[in-house]
Amino acid sequence: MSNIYLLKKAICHKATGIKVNALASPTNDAERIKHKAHFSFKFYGNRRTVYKLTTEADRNTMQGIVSFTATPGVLECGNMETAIHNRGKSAIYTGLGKAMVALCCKISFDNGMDGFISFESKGRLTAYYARMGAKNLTQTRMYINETKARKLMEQYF
Amino acid sequence: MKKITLPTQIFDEAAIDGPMMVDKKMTAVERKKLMEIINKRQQKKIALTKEKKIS
Repeated sequence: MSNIYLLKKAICHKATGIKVNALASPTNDAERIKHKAHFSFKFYGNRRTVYKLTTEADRNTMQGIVSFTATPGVLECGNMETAIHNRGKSAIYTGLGKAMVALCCKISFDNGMDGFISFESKGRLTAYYARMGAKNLTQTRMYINETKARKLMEQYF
Repeated sequence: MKKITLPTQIFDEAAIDGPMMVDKKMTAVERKKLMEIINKRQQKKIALTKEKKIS
């Protein structure tokens, strides 16, 4: 899992409304520590694979970050977060959450898991993920199946 | 006056702060449940391919 992915018109520059291409690539601990001020969750020092999302034009600024582990049959997502400058009313880019979920589906497909992903949602965000096609396995554990994963992927890849 | 929050405001992505998931390993029960769903889908797929081949 070290491929670099291009997500077409994945994130939206909020001020102008222009959609720009995003680039997803693996990131290492050193890079994550360097950018730790931009994220609340500690994405470094764990065993999961971590991908960063940047714009195609600026590959040095992390816009979002997502971690996951490949398990038999399903890609288990650890966590994901948008950078501090993409939050709230003054966010620079929007649409990162959906793009990162689609990225996980793509990685799941490419690694023989048929697009299946599973994650533990924050309680208040279950409806947000449900809009992307995620289904509840338990109250907060959610999954995306092959059909919904394909739909998500079609939007970006 | 009571403030009404519209669904679009609730799910506005810009309003999401901090980590969007809980980094928690899937339990054995959850895994079993999910594998059942995955296996069912695969069996359906196999059955459909067989049907197509016969017809």
